[in-house]
Amino acid sequence: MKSFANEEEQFASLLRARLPALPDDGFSQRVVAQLPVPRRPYRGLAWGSGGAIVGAVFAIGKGAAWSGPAHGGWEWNTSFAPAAASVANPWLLLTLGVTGFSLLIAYTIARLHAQS
Amino acid sequence: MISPDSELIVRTLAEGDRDAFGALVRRHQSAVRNFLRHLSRNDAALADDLAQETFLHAYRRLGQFRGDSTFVTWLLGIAHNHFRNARRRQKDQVELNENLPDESAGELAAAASDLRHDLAEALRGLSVDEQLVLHLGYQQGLSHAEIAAVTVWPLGTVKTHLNRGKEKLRHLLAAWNPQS
Repeated sequence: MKSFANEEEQFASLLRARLPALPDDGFSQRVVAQLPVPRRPYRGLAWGSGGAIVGAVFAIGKGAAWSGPAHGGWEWNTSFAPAAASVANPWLLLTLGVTGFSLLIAYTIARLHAQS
Repeated sequence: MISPDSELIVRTLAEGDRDAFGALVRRHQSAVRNFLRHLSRNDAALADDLAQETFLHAYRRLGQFRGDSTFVTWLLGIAHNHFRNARRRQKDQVELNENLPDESAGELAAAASDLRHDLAEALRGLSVDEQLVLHLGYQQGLSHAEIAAVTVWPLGTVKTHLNRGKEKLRHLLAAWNPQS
């Protein structure tokens, strides 16, 4: 009678022999093709920030233009003071403040997403 | 030079390197697909669908892999979960013979003459759980602790299933080789 160890080896080898390595057959490529696109949380924020800056510059510039129509057009020297005055407008300050605060929140959320 | 799993995982996580993850898939696809084919009774299409889900899930949750087990053990655990979920969803469509009655060793031995050259058939005489631990232990080469991690069973349960399964197979082998 065979020993226990031999018997163990016998069916261990039988069992192992039943498992051939499966050829890939394009399986890996199909999986990689379905992988989700890596998230870029800061890309949307960059567009948002750019838009906010352009909007702010436009708003200040517009405020300056409105405040000094007598100057007959936009000139840096003559428009700087009205532009500064328009920044002092509490409503514009409030708008800029809200925009800045929103961007700060958006940045914080994007950073948390990037870390998760 | 072959990069170890850990290096490919780090590259996937840190650089979003899809090729690195692709290398992991190529390396472990056979183990995962074989495991799922075993669980689904050789339903290759279902097994490959579940294997695909397994790897996509692994990619999304790669940051949660802590390296407590080998990567392939972690993957097999995910595959096992996906299979159980699919089984719950498709209980009516997929017949799994989960509750095969435990045949006595004598009945198995009587059937053995017909199964002489077909170990796969003989294995079907074991309970699903016994087949599972034998598959993971012998065909996937996992340790008892790793099997416990994949199945989320206590180590004692794993050992019990393994011993019972081996005992039944031993009877079958004895019946196939009476001189031994």
